[in-house]
Amino acid sequence: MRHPLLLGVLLLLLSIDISAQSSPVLSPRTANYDMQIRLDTEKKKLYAKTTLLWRNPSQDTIRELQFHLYYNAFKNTESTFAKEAGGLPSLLTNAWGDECGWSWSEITQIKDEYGNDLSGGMHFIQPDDNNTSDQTVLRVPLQQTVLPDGQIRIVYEWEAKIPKTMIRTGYNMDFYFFAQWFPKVGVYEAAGVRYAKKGQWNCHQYHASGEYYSDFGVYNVELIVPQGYVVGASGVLTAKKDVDEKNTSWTFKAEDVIDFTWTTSPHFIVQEEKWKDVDIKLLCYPGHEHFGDRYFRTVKNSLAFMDEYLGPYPYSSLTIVDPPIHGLFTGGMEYPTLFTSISLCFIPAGIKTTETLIVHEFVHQYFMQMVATHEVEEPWMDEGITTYYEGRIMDKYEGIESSVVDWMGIKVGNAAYNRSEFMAIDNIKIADNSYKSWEYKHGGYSRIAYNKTAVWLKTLEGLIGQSTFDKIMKTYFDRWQFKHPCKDDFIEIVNEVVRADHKDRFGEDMQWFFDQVLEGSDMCDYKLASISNQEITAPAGFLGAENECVMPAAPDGQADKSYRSKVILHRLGEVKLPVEVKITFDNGDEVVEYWDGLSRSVDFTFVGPHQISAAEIDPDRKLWLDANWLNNSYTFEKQSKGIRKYFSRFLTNLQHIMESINILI
Amino acid sequence: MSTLQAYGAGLRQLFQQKKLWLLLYGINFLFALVVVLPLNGLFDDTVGNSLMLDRSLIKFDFVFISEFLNQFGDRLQDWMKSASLGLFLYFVFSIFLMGGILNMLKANLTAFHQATFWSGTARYFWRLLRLSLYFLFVQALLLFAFLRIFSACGLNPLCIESDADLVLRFRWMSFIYVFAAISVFMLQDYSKIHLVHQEGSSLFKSFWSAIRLVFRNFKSCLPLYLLNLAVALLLTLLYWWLSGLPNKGSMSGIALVFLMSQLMIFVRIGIKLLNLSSANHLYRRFVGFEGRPL
Repeated sequence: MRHPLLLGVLLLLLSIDISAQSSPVLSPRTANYDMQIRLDTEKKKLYAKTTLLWRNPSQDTIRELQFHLYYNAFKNTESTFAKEAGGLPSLLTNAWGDECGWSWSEITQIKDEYGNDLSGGMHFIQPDDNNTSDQTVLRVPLQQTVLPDGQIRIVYEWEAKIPKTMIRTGYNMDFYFFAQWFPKVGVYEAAGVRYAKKGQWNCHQYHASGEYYSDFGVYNVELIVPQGYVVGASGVLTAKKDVDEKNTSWTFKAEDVIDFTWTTSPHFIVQEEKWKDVDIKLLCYPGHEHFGDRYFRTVKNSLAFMDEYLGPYPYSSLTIVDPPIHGLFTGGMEYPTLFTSISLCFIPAGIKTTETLIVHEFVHQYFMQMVATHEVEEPWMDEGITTYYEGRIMDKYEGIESSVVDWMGIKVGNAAYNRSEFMAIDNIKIADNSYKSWEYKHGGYSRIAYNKTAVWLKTLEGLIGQSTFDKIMKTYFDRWQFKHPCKDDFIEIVNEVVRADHKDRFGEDMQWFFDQVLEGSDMCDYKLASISNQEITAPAGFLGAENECVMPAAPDGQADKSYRSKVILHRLGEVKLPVEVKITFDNGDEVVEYWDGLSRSVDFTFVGPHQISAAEIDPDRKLWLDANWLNNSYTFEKQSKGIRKYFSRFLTNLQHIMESINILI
Repeated sequence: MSTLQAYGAGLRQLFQQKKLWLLLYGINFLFALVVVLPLNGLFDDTVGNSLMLDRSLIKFDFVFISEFLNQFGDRLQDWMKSASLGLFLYFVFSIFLMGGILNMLKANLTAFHQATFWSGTARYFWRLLRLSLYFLFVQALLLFAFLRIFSACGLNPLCIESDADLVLRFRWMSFIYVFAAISVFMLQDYSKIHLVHQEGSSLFKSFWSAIRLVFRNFKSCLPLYLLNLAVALLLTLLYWWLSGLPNKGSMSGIALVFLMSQLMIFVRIGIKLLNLSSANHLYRRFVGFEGRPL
């Protein structure tokens, strides 16, 4: 250490700087940024100066910093992102026309607070796949180390060429959306954080799926854009002024967030409403103002739900961006205190894609923004939990059977839709939930990370009851907000709460459940195989002396008849879950039996005057993981009404089609 | 003869040809029944004993449908392949029947006459088949042209300024397209009628004669066609509303909906006959055959 006294004074000044924030400090504020950004709409470039104040969260001495330069993912076809995505969709590249849509990001000057030029040693690294063409992670060796719990200020100037109509980001026409756009420091995991046995940088390359893992911090960002452009961004607007005849400066401050995102266009129309102390802002294009009601209603419902079940939304602002159709690829994305949805005038209001996206992206404010899990390494903790809550909120406010579609008599519920998405996958065992985002292949990412997680969370809720489940999630949120939890932290809370609520009803802990559904890819399927009702007759044959054969008694009407009735259940899948079975007798009596679900097959036998008319496994639909609900029940009599209804419907529909085709004659 | 007079005459003729009407309905029903029959076994085998089946009766049951498609979608797909073949055969057979229908209209008989009908089916089959194919080609061309014009301004969403403009453009173009398609369907009706009335004429001659006739008498032909179309649309809406009323969870409700739908099929066939007979009356008036059997 060359100037320990100077360093001490600086640290003192910097700590004053941090503690001088007006709002209560919610997070560790590890990575703090002051940025001045100038948008050049002619050259489609950003010119920026950033001051990063980084706090060492560990007891290690830090000798280097690592940065994400995610705009380099769109530098060429050789980046890891482009390769994993199998090239860019032709829809995108076709829209480029004669323009070069590729982008880059470059740090032109970088110095530490002592004036040391750090650019000499900086170089790109590829920690995930050794793809030397990938330039999305930059290692910057420090000349002055950062002591345990110490901090460092890095000042860097950088430029970026903005991609055209790229995935999640870029410009098109007058619409600009900046996501994963600035050189952002990675996460240094201290020993004990998540899976880190010793301190380590966790800074992944930009992959086609999964983005987030960042430290919390405070962002002061001045955005200089052409006059007439409207800006929406993370955080709150603290100042707006014209800097010259052509440009306006918009300054935003976002506290205790893991990222900063912004958008601008001269065409944005701003609508504003309030929920409690939260200022909600909607930015949309002309012709989309009428979507405002849907946006505000849905986001307010989501705020109320999460407030009730998890905890308050702690920020004072929430910005929703409704991108224009030519900015479609930026839609349906989550960023701190800002998210995007999609609305299209030609989609009927009864098809609730817009609402679904609003709810989903809003829930991300909690799972990944506040509970800052690692989306790349454990996508289920981000997207899966969010998808589960998407179902809860949509089904509560939009109707359990019509929350996704309620149009022309077609009704589809959200949770049911998510389940069907998972069950309809070609290979239901394609992956388990322990995969990293880029390890999922052949469509497995969304089906497993999103849908399967939502389905097994719903199954967990069914098994332990909604109140215990809600307690788990509340505890998880309270304990891990503004931190970086991992799978083990979640499971630990599940074990703790289930034990408190149910003692040892589910065993010593719930690990058996997670081994199967989270670490395993097996299928769950219980089947009600058969029902039999056998009349009990008096004993016959040589019952006593060898010369006295007792003949079977002749039937004597209905009176005093007795039956040995049996239901046989099979476990067809590998997943073993406890299950209830409801047995209904011909006099209407019902009996509920419990099966631990462990053996391959089980039967329940009853002796009495009544026959079994029907039986059903999991009558309350707790096991959402069960791959086939059709075989969960069995009736002694055929379901003739249903058969006739569907048969007659097919018949008449076919007749109508035949007559319609005749128009061509 | 005014539009309404032609419509009235067509209506009278329709009720005179009740047997023909019933025959066409019966063929439609039997054809569909044969195609759909395997589904009865499919439902019986797969979900006949599942409680989910009867529970799905009252409303649209997405869970049941998705489960069924997930588990037995392959078998349903196999059925759909054979059903497509059935539809094709019905299409060809309907061309065959069309000859009989037109021959009956040409003869201007007051009652169904089997010999006239069946002789017409055989006599005009090949010519009507070719004519149908030509018009199919014209309709395909029209649709292609519509799509080309619609997409000429760009369909890549990333190249579109505003989806509201896209919707507006689609609405206007659809209106024009539907009008054009209706005109072609109308031309096809008059071409068929002309083909049967002018036995010796070639297909193209029928086509051009129909064009000349329709455009010379556009003020009568179009309203008549639109009147038939409006009646069909009104009855469809009425059926849609009525069929939603019965309780679909009961056997009587299922039976009632089935009967209503059969009635609707019967009405649709009637409207098709009415359209042809009223156009036939108008045609005969234009070419000077009014009142005379040919």
